[in-house]
Amino acid sequence: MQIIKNRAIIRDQWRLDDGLDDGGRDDHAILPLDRYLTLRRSPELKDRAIGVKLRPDEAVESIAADLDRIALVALEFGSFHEGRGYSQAAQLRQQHHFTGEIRALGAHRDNLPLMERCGIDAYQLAEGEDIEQALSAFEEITEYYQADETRVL
Amino acid sequence: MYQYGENDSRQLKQRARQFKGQVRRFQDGALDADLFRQLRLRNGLYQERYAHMLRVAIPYGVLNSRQLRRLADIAREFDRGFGHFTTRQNIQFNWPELDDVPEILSRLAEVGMHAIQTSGSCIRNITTDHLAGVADDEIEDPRPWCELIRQWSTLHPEFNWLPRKFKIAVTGARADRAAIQLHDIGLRLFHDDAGRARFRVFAGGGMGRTPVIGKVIAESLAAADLLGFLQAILRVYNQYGRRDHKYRSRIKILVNDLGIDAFKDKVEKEWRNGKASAPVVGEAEIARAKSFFSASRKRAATASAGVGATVAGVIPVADKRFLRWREQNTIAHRDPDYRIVYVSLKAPGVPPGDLNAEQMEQLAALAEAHSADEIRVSHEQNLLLPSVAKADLFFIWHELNRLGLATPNIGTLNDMICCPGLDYCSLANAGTLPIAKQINERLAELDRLYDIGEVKLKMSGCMNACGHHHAGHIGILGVDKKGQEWYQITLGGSAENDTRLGARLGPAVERERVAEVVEILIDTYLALRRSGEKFLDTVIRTGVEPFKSTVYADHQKPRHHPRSVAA
Repeated sequence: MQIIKNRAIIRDQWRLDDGLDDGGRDDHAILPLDRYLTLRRSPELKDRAIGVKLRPDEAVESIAADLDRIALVALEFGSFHEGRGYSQAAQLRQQHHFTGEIRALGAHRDNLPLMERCGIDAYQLAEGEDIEQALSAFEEITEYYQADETRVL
Repeated sequence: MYQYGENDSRQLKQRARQFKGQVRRFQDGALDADLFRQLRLRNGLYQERYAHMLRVAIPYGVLNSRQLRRLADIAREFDRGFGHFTTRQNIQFNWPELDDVPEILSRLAEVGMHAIQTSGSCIRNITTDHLAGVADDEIEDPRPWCELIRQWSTLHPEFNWLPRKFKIAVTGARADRAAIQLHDIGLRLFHDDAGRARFRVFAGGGMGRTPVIGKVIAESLAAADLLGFLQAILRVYNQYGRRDHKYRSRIKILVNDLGIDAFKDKVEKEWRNGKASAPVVGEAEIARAKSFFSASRKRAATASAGVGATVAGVIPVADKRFLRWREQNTIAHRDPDYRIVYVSLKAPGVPPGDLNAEQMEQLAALAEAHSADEIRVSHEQNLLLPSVAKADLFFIWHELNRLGLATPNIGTLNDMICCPGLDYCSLANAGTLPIAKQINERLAELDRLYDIGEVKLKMSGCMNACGHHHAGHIGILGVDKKGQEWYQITLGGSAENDTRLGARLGPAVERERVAEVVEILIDTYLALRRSGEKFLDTVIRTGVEPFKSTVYADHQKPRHHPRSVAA
């Protein structure tokens, strides 16, 4: 599967994993929050690149203490007008100084610049979006008043 | 006023171009209709009853003559020759074609105007006191702060998809003329003992179908922290505001559901956690913002040419119509050599808030020559020439009168707030413009209006309350009953320092009877009032009961209620 990362199309090495059914061999699994919280101290997760998926109503604080061993946080954008993920991303970057990947799941082309400015750097596009065309969304507006994750004022 | 630099202009041009691309993708079928709807709303474009409507922002109500001329051009070329000023310091064009909208936005961008975030679930146009910078009761000019908030909120990446729309109003005067307690956030600018600017912050106010008066969430916020604290409030609202039900998703519902104390705790926690990375308004930034809003420049009066009736410094006392207008439609300026002039958009028979292109152009010329190149828009749907030299007043009256903009009715019953209603709006349940006309015709006589004194009548064509009916001394709400238009009356609302919500008078009245009921309310007041009591004072003292009994008792009688007031 292809995703956009840092404004380039790449082949995705992660997979969404609700069951961790491969006996612990698989690296790069993205676990739902409740599953991650159950497994967080288990040997299964040790030395593996782990991602955590947050639903819009799940607080960033619930993984705050673990962020130094989480490689990726995936944020669910169930619909075009779901807005909570923007605050989750901003909190991860601004308040928790998270430096790993923040990935939007279900991103729409016209929202990509907003997401990027909140600190999201990877995008799994919503169904029906053309990945090549989506890249041009980043360039449409270059002037903003706010300092953000792409620039400091 | 704020001058757009290269960066501001580039942003507007890029935004117009972006929207053009979105329109094209929509027309090509590459952009889903629901998605396009959300994108066009964030560019001010609605689909209304018969056509599109474009809502253009007039940030904190300040316009210069060049901008007003551009609005006139747009009205002429893309509308049917007029524009409608709203209760949120915006102007609406009712007949643009979708294909033309990117072009309209480009032309607005050329004069530093836009329609960004004038609709949709995002931070809307920042509104303020229409007398900002010229009022004699002002503590500090709120406009530089409004501009800072405008910049901060424009295309803010985090707050473009809020649960619902979000409105911020600011006042810097002793008397609140911006209805700050009826906004999602209301800001009262004041000075501490050391003379430093601080803000009292209200949150959770609003009108709509669940009217709520805002509650204090910060008593005294340092000015440097303004944007950081707004960010904390918005972040809490963005994360916890309900998204499952359109009518339960405004911040007022969240504040009520949590209780103000729990809401405040959440905001303060977010504020503490986010403080290190929150925006700080630096001294240099404040100074820069203030530099755009220096006190009105003094200029020599230049008016008399061509009118003959006046010479600079001499007021033609003979003209009673002029004196009446001066008394009713002008007020004290902080500079005693000037007056603030209201331009009444409430001429009888004209929809409240409407102005045609010819009037816009002529008014622009008057502002340019006689009011420091400035025009203001009030939330009560009038315009103002904020700084007119006293010696120019007669000339200005003469010109405004010629343009049909000098009806001496500011503050009277006929100076009503009124949404466009069923004639234009796809949300409306009932007409408002015909009712306004009905009331205007029934209570037309000026001497009678002056005797009645200040009455704020506010009318909305549906529960969304764009006409602020909850805050009217007399509020009128249009409702649909089995396909017929009926009107609920409320009494005793106010949007000022003593913000109050109106109380229901009784059952809704039929369309034909609204003006008659208003007249009965007025007659009841005249019979009840004590010396010096205004309409609102009497309603507060007596409650609605005496009004209720006259209105509904009267309904049982035959329909030949005497129309004249006992003189």
